[in-house]
Amino acid sequence: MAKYHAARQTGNGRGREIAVKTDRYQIIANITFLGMEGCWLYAIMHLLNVKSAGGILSVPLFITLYPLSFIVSKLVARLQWHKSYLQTINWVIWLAVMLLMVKMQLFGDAGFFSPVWLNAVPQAIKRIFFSFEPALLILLCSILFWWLGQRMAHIRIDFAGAIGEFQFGLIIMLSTFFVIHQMGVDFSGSIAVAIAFVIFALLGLSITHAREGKSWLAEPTRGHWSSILVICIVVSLLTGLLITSLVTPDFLEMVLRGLKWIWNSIIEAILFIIGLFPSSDPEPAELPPAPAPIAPIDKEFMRVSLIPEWLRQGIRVTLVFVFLAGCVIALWQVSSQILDWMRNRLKGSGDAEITTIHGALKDDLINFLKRILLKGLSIFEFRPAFLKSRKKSNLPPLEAVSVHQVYHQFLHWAAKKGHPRETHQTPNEYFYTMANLLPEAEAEMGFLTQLYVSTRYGLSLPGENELHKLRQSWQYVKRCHFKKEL
Amino acid sequence: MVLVALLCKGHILIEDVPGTGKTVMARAAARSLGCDFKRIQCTPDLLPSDATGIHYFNQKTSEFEFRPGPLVSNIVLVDEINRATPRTQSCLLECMQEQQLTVDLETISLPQPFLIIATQNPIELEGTFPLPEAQLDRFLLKISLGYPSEDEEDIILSRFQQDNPLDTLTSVTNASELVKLQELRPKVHIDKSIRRYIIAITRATREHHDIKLGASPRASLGLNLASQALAAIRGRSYIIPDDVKYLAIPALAHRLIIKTRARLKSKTTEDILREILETIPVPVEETT
Repeated sequence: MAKYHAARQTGNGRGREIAVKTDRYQIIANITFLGMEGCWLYAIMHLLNVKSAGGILSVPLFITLYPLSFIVSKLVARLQWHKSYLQTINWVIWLAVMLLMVKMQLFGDAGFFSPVWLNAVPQAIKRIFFSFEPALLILLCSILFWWLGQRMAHIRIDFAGAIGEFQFGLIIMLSTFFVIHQMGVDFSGSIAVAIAFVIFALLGLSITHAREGKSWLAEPTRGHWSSILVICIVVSLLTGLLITSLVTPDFLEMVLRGLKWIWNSIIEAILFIIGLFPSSDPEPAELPPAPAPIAPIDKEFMRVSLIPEWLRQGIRVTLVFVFLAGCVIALWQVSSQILDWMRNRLKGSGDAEITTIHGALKDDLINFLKRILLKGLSIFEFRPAFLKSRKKSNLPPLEAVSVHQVYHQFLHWAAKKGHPRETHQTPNEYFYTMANLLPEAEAEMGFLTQLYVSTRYGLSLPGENELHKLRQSWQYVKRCHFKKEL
Repeated sequence: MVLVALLCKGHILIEDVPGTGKTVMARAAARSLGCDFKRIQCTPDLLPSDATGIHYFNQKTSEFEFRPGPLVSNIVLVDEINRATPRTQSCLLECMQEQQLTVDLETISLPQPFLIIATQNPIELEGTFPLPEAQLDRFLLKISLGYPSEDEEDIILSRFQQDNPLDTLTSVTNASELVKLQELRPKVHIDKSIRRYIIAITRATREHHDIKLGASPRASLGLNLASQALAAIRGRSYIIPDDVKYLAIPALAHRLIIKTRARLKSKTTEDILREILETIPVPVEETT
């Protein structure tokens, strides 16, 4: 891979080189995002395939819906028509692809014009309360996959997004593996899926972080980031293999035997202590009287008290969802704590620049669930008011967050150089102070301060060009030296 | 500051020695803004009707007619307000507050925009009626022009050498445009952190050990409005902390009463406000 840091100089030729590299990295970043989501989607699909469809579906074939949706969304977006028309086209294509998937997966032998595969989905919907058919699984999962592909085509590919995807995907994947294990489903590809997820996540995080130009990975003096990344992946794999080779069934059996021995010893000790206290012989107890025979239940009463089958299925599905939601929440809490610990550890290291976007994933997830619920309820034309309007995110836009991050890095850098901002100083007052100390970077610091002020206190958001200039200005300021005070 | 007060529908109190250009400033402001200008020289025998106007009997029409006083104008310079009696002062302050005046049970709306520039001499206090705190609080800003620097005085002398520059001053706007600008002023965005910053400053004045009476919520409101006006004048659609800091002393200093022991140490309200501004952190915290 070409050296990213070698193309940072100004100049027309170099600028084109930078643009080409940027596009290539954008494509790679897209692929990593698709890869991350594809991994946990594969895990979920495998579970659903085994449990609901008896394992008859080809999961890899099904997964292709996801990148296909991404490509279709990107192509359709180029038409530059009204949003509603584009959505209609998108979902019409989905319908065609979904029906094709039903034919290929379930009715491979049937003729192309045979009504059997065309009617499969409506028939499956009719029988939804009695049995869950593979065609229904294809319908529901294809909707999800198609929507996810559309979403991926429009989300911002940046470091914050990569973190969100990693967090979300990790939780989903771990909970899916847990459920797979609990249900006793065979998933021999779990290790490969997990490794692939980690690789995509590492790649995506590294590339997006480097692209934002604020990471040590972008510095020319810090070596080849791609090589370091590959080494990290190889070390992780080797460590995993080592653990796999050490933790054999015999080893686990030995550990279990050890634990049992310890437990038995504890029980024996307790029994011994109990045995030290004398106890009187118990008197023979009288047997309780035999219970009266149970009267036969009235059949009429039984018929009335039994709940209908469809209600029982519904309650069962609801309980499963509640249980899964509980597991997700529990895993979320654990993963958040782990990530907080990692953030705190990394903050202590030299040049690592940590950015926190608290609540971004939660915000997205809640809005996602609300949208699903709203779409579902809209079928019955029942739209509660609290679901109608999307709750305005309390989070600042990503562009504003980038500007704030750069400015705070600037403050942190200046403080480390011995010129911290006084708490009572406004950004402009601090700029005048710094301009005296660093006159060669006055214009850059002025731009940085002005952009921060307008974003922080105003309502304007910077454009792509301004963000690029901001990052360049910050890089320039970082390389300047303070005037020696006489 | 005149523009700030005008945009906020507030009024200014200038405390300065004679001959520093208060009248010239008021006239120049009125002329360049295309507004009417009147001057009231306060003396102990000034009656309220001298300022508001009177109803007189017109023998030709056999009806009582209202002759408006100098208060019925866009920009009114009230010179040495502390020389007027409390009764006349309260009449002027009623106009400031209500933007209308009552003469013989008839309510007359004052023209818009309406700005009172009141002055008082900090040196000669004999025979004066100092404005009480409750009335000082009604002034949006209190400023002091001070003596010009050497270069500025040179420029003044050269300007006034030939003729009066005020005679050649042309208006750049008119009253109706100013009213529209007043309506646009509330659209200036105030970030929540800036609002909290303003409140932190005013609350700090209530808790300072050298201040007997701190700034009221009217002061917070005044500072808020003035900051909006200043941001608009500087070409911004949002307030920044620099606007607040710039206006903190003019907007708050006259509303504070300092304790005797602080006054004995030659401390002024301006000094205390400067101390407070150096202790209140400016909102530059990390937003996540």
